[in-house]
Amino acid sequence: MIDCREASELTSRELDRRLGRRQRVALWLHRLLCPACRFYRRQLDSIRRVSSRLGTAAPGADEAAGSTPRLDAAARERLRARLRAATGDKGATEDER
Amino acid sequence: MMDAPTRAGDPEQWLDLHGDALYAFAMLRVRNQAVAEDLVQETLLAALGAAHDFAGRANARTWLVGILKHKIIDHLRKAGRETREYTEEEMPLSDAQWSEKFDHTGHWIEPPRDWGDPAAVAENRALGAALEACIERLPEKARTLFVLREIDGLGTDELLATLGISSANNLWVMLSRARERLRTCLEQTWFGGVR
Repeated sequence: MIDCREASELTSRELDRRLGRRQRVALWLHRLLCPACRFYRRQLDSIRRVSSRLGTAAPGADEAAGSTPRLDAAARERLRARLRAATGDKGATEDER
Repeated sequence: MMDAPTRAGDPEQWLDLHGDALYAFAMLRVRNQAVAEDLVQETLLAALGAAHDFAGRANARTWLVGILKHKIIDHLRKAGRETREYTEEEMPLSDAQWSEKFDHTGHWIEPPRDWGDPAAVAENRALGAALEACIERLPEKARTLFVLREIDGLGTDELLATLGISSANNLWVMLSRARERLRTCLEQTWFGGVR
């Protein structure tokens, strides 16, 4: 019989790879008797689900956190200058309809 | 000649519309302003060189993020080329901290609580912000690992190749510690605090 310590380790591992048959049975048995480890699995599942929506830079997902880092004005200008340098001669010759 | 600003494939417009999002995306994965800025620049320049590739695509943001993702993986791969063990400070949770969670019989000292149905929990946008704040507090390497695994969905082999972690077993241990730390962080900041 595995304890909560091993069960929690396996619960995480289950999210990264397929467990062996023996481990799966041990974990199933442990959870049958241990509500805390059943909650643990649901908590990790929740974290996974919430994570999958974060940090994707999808339009509309940006406001999720007020702390989202932004380019400051100086960095933005540096980038703009480099882009201009890179596009400088191109812009004049490329005919965009 | 200067009617460019309304064009779909204008790099300066990409910078205006998507610069912040690209930068935030990079910062979450590399945690270094100068590196993140460089990665955004490389992305925009690469996009410029491949603008024909963009033609007909509806979403410039998605396209640019796809390019940036490759740039980040390349960067991490170079940085993590030397495989080595994580130091104690780089671990999301030390062995001692992990052991303290359990009593001598291996049972939880503070048993995990019921957060409710994961599908319902996942609907909560404010919880997303709380989790992001917890992720911010992970040590840098652990954070990068967690983000690449859970947000970008990289598998074990890709993670090993990218991050210079010595074995799959170490990788899984790191992930389990990171998840445990995030779980504890959320229990404290979101699900009711100290009992």
